[in-house]
Formats: sequence, C-alpha cells, structure tokens
Amino acid sequence: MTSLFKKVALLMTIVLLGAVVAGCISQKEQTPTPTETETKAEVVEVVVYGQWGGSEGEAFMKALQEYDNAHPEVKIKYVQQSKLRDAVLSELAAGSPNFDIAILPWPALIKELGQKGQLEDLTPIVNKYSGQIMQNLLDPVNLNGVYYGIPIKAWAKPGIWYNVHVFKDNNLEPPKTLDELKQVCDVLKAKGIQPMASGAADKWPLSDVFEAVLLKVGGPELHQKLMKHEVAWTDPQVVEAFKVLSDLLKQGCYGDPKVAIGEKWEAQVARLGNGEVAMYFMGNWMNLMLQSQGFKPGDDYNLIPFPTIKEGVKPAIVAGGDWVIVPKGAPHKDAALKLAEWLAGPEYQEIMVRQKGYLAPNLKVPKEAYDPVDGKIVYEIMANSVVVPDLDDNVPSGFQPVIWDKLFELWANPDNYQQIAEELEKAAKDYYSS
Amino acid sequence: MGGRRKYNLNKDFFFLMTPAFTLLFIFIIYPILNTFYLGFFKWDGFTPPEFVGLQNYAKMLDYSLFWTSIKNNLFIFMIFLPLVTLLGLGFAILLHNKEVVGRNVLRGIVMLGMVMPLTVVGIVWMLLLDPRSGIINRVLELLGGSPRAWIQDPSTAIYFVIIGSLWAWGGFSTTVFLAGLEGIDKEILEASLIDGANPWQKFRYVILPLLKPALIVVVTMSSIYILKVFDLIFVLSAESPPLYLSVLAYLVYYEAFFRYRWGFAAAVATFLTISVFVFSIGMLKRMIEERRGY
Repeated sequence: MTSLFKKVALLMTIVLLGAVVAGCISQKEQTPTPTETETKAEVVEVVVYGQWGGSEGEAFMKALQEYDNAHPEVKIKYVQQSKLRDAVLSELAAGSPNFDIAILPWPALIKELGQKGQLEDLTPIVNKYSGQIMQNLLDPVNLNGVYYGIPIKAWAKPGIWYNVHVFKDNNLEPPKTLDELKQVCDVLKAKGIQPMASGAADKWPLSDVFEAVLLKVGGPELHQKLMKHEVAWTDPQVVEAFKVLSDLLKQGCYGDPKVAIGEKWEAQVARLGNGEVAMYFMGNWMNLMLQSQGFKPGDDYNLIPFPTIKEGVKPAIVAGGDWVIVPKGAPHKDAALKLAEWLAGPEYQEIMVRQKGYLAPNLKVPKEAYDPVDGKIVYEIMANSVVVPDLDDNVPSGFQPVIWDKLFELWANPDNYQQIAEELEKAAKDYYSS
Repeated sequence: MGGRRKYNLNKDFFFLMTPAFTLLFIFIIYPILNTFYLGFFKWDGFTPPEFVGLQNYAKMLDYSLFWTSIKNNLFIFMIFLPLVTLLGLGFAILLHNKEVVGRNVLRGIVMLGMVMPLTVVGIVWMLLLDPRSGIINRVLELLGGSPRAWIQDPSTAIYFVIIGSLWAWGGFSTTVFLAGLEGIDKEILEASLIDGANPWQKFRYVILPLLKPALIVVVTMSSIYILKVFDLIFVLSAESPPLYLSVLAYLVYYEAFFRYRWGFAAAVATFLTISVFVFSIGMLKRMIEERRGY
C-alpha cells in the first residue's frame, strides 16, 4: 500500500509539475517583462486595446501608422476587443495587464479603477494641454484632482440621418416636429419606402432612439434624473416617451414591425444610402460609414436634430467620448505614456477628423479640418444643445442589457409599453438598491 | 516473460487511472464543484465575492426570465424529442432499403447536419431566414406572402430553433437507427415472414423491439443535447437572442457575461446541471443495462 501511495504521489507530482511548467512557459510568452523586451529588441511593441472596428478601426490604424513612422523605436499593435470591458478588468484583476493602453468609453469605470490604484495618473498630460481639451469630457475622469483618463475622441448622437434624394423626389421637407415626422412617414409609406430604420436586432440602437425621444419629452433634467433613478421608469413623462415610440411603431414608421425587429444596425447604413429607407437615428459615426460606402455628405445624405415633441423643452443631445488609460504595471509604461500624450494632442486628432466621422475633444484642431456634416454636429447641434452623457452607458452595468431587451420587446410588441415601463422599474429598483 | 500479465485491480487500477482522474478532477469535477460553491455568493466577476447563502436560488424562483427559460426548454424538448426520433427512424428505414435509388448520396445528405458544427448550422439558418436577403423570405414574397424576422418574432422564433436542431441532430438519430437496423439478424426477419407477419406486424413486433437499444441511445443523447441547447440559439439570433427565446443555458451566459451576476449565473448553472443529470441518469442506466444484455 505504501508502494502504491508512492507511485500515485509520484505520478500526480509529475502531472502537476508539467502543468505548472506549461503554465509558466505560456505566461512568459504572453507577458514579456520590459527588461527582457527592451534588451532583446530595440523596437518596443506597445499594445493598445480598443473596440473600434470596421471603418472606424481602419481610420485609427491609419493614424497610428503616422506615429509608427515618426517613432521607429516603437511598434504599435492595436487589438480590437469585442469584450473590451471583460478583457481589461480581468487582466487588471490578475495584476499583469498584457496591454499598455486601453481606449474605454466608460468614465465611471475609469474613475473606479483609478480609485483602486490600478491606473497611472495622467494629470501631467492633461496639464500639458491645459485649456485645450473639452472640459465636459475631462470632468468625468477626474478624481480628487487626478485625471486617470484623457479623452481622445468625442462622439455624439446628434439626430436623424436622412437620404436627400428620397426627400427631394417626394417633395418632402425634413421634419421639425413629431407631427411632421408622422406626416412624412405616411407619405413615404404610401410610396413603398420604409420611413425609418432602427437596427433593432442589435438592441442597443433602440436605447439611442429612446433617449432622443426622452430628451424631447422631458429635456436634459428628466434624462439625467432617470439615469440616476431619481425618477421612476413609470414616471408619466417616461411612459409618454415609450408611448411616442409605440405610436411611431404602430403607424409603420419603422416599416413592418415583423421585419423591423430582425434588422441589423450596420446593414441599415447602405439601405439609407441607397434610399431603401429614408431616415435613421444614429451617432456621428454614420458620416464616416456612409462616406466609406461612396455616399456624399450634403448631396446624398444629411442630418437633422430629432424633431420637437414638446414646445419649450431645452434642446439637448447625448454625447460622450472615448478615453485612454494606462494601467499600472503596463509592460512598456514610458512608451505608453508618450503614445497617450500624442493621442490626446491636436496632431493625432486632426488626422482623425480629416478622415471623417470623428469629433476631436482637443479644441486646438482647426475648424477647417472638419467636413460639413461633422462641422454641423460640433458647431451647430452640439454648440446649441445641452450635452448629456449616454443614459444606458451610465446606469449600473448589469441594468444596461435589461434596458436594451425591454426596448426590443417594445419593438416586438408596441402595445405593451406600460408593462415594459413597469418591468424596467422593477429591475431598476433591484440594481440601484444594490 | 511471454505470458499475459495479471493485473492487480486494487493496485494497478489506481496507478493507471491516476492521470485520467487527475485531469478529470482538474477540468471537470473541480469546475462543477466550484460553480456549485459560487452559487452561494454575490459576485460581479471582478470584486471580492460576498457570501449570500441561498439567496441566489431564492431569487431564481422569483425571476420571470428563469421561468421563461424553463418553459422554453420544456417546449423545445417536448416537440423536438418525438420529432427527432420519428424522423431519424423514418430516414433510417428509408435509407436501409436497398431499392431506394441513390441511397448512399441520401445518407451523405442526411449526415450533413451532424458533421457540421452547430455554429455553422446557426449561421446557415440565420442567412436563410434573414428578413431582407434570406431565401426563405424571398420565396415567400414570390408566393405573395410578407417577409418577417422569423428568429426575432416572438410567435415564430422558437419553432426555428426546433427546425434548426432537427436539421443538425436528425443525422445523428438516423445514423444510430441505421446502425441498429444493420445489426438485426436477417434470419429473424425471414422467420417473421414465414410466420405470416405483414409489414406493419414485422415492424411493430420484430424490428421495433430489436431497435430498443438504439432508441434509448437516441432519446438519451437527444434529450441531453436539447436540454443544454445554447450555441444554435445564440448564433441564429446573431449573438443577440430576444429574451423570450431564452433557455437555461443562455440564461447562464446572459447573467454572467451581460449582467455580471456571476453568483446568480452559477446558481442557474447548478440547477441546469442537476436537472440534466437527474433526467438523464435513469436513461443512462437503462442504456448500460441494455448493453449488458439485461
């Protein structure tokens, strides 16, 4: 029995040692220490995590190439993470991030990570660009005077993109009020054109439309109160916003509801450009997406703010940004800080602005760099509106998919808006109380 | 030297099985136990877990999505299981018949769904069912019907999960029944004919009882598959299933990766594991008994 025990113990030790050695080897390959890399190779590879993909990702890569060319000692590797939040949080929790820089759209999370001591202090970079960076994008990442992130991109959800030809061919004017919108819907429907697209199958675009309606019903105050759950989802004004959407859906403004719920958001871009659909509420990135498909701003498509629903409500739009962070323990901290400084500066941001669909948080970027539509967003729509942060991005994180799913249910069954509001309120109570 | 070595089961058994048991423990048993343990905590996946006792289980019973998921699981199960069994049996009888022209080609076609990964099956059906470009809607339009988003539509979504599952799993049940049919002794069939059995009597009283082992395999494996179905639903709906299409396996994923309620997700996973285990243990037992010739 002793002999058996010894054999078993020996075998287990071999298996476990094998596993440990294999683990060590694979970890070594994934996270080379700075000293090793720096001594073995002259070129430092700076790893950037982000979630930009498609034409947005390509534009970013093009800008990074400029940095690569000017800094032969650095090679930037951009990794598009579909689960960015999970990737960043798990690597930070493990204490050994594999990335040098991450681009995050969640300011509350950045502050939380900064408070936990997991991020580098980026205040010196902010000070270098003193007075140049949009303050309303700096404030959300400021914790007791320390900046843990720097905005390198601003975005806005400025309104409805519309196909100019469809409106001209049907003698229509872009709607300014909800009633006009409904009339336009009727005309377009009669002509066999889908009035609006929503991208409902992806769910998240629905919260953007909902927020636009909410802002037109109750203004920025209602929007912010709902975000903080200071008003209930069953508040009459919130329910009214649901009802507006319900009416539009029932009227057929989003086409046949049986089809609308299956529409993917990206597929709607080409449909808008081709005139299959006349209007589409979406963020400013549409400008780049439409242009990359060969459509011309002003000639083929244009932008209008969401129509007025109630007179006297302060104009407001949802806008936000993407912030760079440098984690504590970044494999190449110095190179990462230098890159972060460049990304926060006007040189990088002008390159991005000139590629369209990008709004610069650094105000030193010249106005002439913007194309007409992006310029309209910054200097007409944003300048004349109260800017509020995205509601669903700023609710407790688990609550966000609940909002998306409930709005999807509204699209599937528009008559159900009262029940949807009640269910959202029930879920909200759960999340905000914990 | 030269003679067969006599194994001492007590000694050699444990020695030889140790590597397998070690790996089994690390990769199967430990994760299951850890999931069970995690079900007693409130944890977002990143911050330290907080012990909450049975709260997650209590919450589960009060959670409408949990009941929707169970309802969907049961509905899919009730429809899928008889259909996959009957279809498999039907195809197997057809493909077993040597008079069927091109039966080898047909066998290949029937097996196609089985050899394809479920994610590929999901993508194929997603493309077929696309509300704008999918061939099913195009045909429907040509016939004068209206297109619709079959997967997102609450009234049709679940049926397409069943159809996709049948397409994917029908090959398996056909193969098993076919193997069962091939294994039946021809003399027994001939004896039934001599005894004057008509085709129905031959099928009912001779073939079907002899196919019992195959039937148990099909029912057991198909039940386990359908109770934990996830990938097909996930891919069919382009990674964003409507919640009214939720099943228990999707609920685990949704709660963990979307809502960051890892403890709660672990509780649901534990429930699912126990349910599948309890459900399948009886049938697995019968399957083993059949193989032993009880």
